[in-house]
Amino acid sequence: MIRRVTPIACALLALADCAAARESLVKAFEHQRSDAAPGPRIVVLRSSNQPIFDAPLRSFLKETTGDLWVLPSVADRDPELIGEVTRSLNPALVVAFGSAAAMIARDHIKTAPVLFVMVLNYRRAGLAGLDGVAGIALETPPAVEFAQFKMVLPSLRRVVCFYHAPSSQELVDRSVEALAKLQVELVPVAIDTPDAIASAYAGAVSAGTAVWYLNDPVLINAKTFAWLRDRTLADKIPLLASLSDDFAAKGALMSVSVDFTSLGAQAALAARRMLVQREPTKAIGVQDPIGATLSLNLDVARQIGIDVPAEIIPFITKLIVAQSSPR
Amino acid sequence: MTLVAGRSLTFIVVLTVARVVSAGEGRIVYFDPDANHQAIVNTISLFNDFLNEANLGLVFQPVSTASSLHDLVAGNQAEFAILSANVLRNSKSLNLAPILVPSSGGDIYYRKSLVDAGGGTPDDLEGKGVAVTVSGGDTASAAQQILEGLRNAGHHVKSISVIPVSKDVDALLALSFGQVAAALVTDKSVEVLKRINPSAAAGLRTIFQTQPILRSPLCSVGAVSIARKKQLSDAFKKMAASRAGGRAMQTMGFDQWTDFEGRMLTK
Repeated sequence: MIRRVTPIACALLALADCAAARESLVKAFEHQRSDAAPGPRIVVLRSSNQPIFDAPLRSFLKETTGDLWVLPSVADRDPELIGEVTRSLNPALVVAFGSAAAMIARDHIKTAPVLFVMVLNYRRAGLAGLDGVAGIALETPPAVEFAQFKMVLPSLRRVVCFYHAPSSQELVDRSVEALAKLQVELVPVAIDTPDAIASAYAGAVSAGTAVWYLNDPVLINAKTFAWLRDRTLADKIPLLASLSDDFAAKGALMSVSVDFTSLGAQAALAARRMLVQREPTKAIGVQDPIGATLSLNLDVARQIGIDVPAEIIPFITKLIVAQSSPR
Repeated sequence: MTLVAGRSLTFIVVLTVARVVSAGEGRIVYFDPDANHQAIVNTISLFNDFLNEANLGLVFQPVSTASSLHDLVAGNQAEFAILSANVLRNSKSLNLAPILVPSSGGDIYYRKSLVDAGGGTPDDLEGKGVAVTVSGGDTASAAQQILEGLRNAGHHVKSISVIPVSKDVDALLALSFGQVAAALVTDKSVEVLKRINPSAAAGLRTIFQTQPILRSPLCSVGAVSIARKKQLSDAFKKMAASRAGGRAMQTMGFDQWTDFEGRMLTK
């Protein structure tokens, strides 16, 4: 049966829907007040209820005093409405966990400074250099990555990386400079397609070098990783990877990825600097994350003839040992 | 709007259990606030391989907070415990009897130092970030320890913000990149930084050093027979010779087990 609805009824229904959505959103905010030390009002927006946000958010809330309002998930809600309700709370700061929350904070809340956390590639997300926006980046900076790699390979002097210039030139330029301070020469080899790695490898990689599988969105895929893993293993060349500890688990010598241990406390300190110490947002800026997960594949180390110093082992976050069968 | 009384989020306290403890098996529960807990989780299978090889009928179970350890020990769910000397001193009601102590290069103690980048005075740490390895998220105790150390060293700092890290090297790198104002780390980790980044290490200034900290003793829990303690002690003294056991020890930062003596706790 087709039900006829007049334009006025339609508008009334829309208003009713809107009111219901607003009421549902208002109810979704959790008020976490610290009566002992009331402090300024902070609204926390979380991208989704995925567990990845749990520990950093928990740590942030634990380390922050103030009048805290938390929206546990912005998913499936109207961004404009979230902006309106957040503005009505008149916060001194909005803290956004995850990209979706950060986008809403940036686009729909213009009345309070924003601190973002756990946003992958904040530059591409358009969060760099904005007035009133500070954050904690999710990518481990190259200098920290290589400081970790050098614990295991103290004699590391020359590293080759393959990259797609339009996607990663800025990262490569920063890395050349950062690695030079660690007395490591980075030799970047620009290629146009993933398939070009094989031909570029022969001319660039020689004994005594290592290969860095950097976070390049065009070149990172299962095929290029498998090829580089097999070839470097055959040539006894260390393969060093960024972004995920999965690479070490799947046959790279080492990988460095972000460690979530510090993120929440780091964000809490940034919030305190903004609200208590009254530092301008620009002075906070976008900070590199503190800490990194260093994963080392001991079997690969053995196969390519690398002797890992025993005193370094306690400083490695994850040791991958295939022979040690999990029970 | 929903009013949430306090912060009711619950911490996950038990890190990982390698397998379910079956009938006839005991448990070695492990807690050390200075340990790299992520690395320890990776060590569980190695430690259990060693326990299995030695036929001890035990399962190794790290926990991330002192209260989890208390719960397991007080609830008679552990036959042995490896726990920090500080927790041991404060757990007299738990009937723990130390048997062995780990050592590294013959040293049963380690020390931690609060280091900064060398500019200004230590009083400038007021309200600043200090990176520390903290297990179980107990940043308040870590802050208290640092403030006390500063006070004893004659500095006047009322508050700091503890930034927890997984391992000492992360704290030192955060300091060398200007992300925190100071780091509380073991002397061994400063040696590591000297090797990987000598210029960063050269500028470090030690503000204070803690008293020697006894490495975490292995204790029996409750009424364990002398024969059982001897069986465990004999097996652990040979741990370094086992492939899995040796690797587990390396990950935990020691290379031998030594007989415990009462005077060790009083230093």
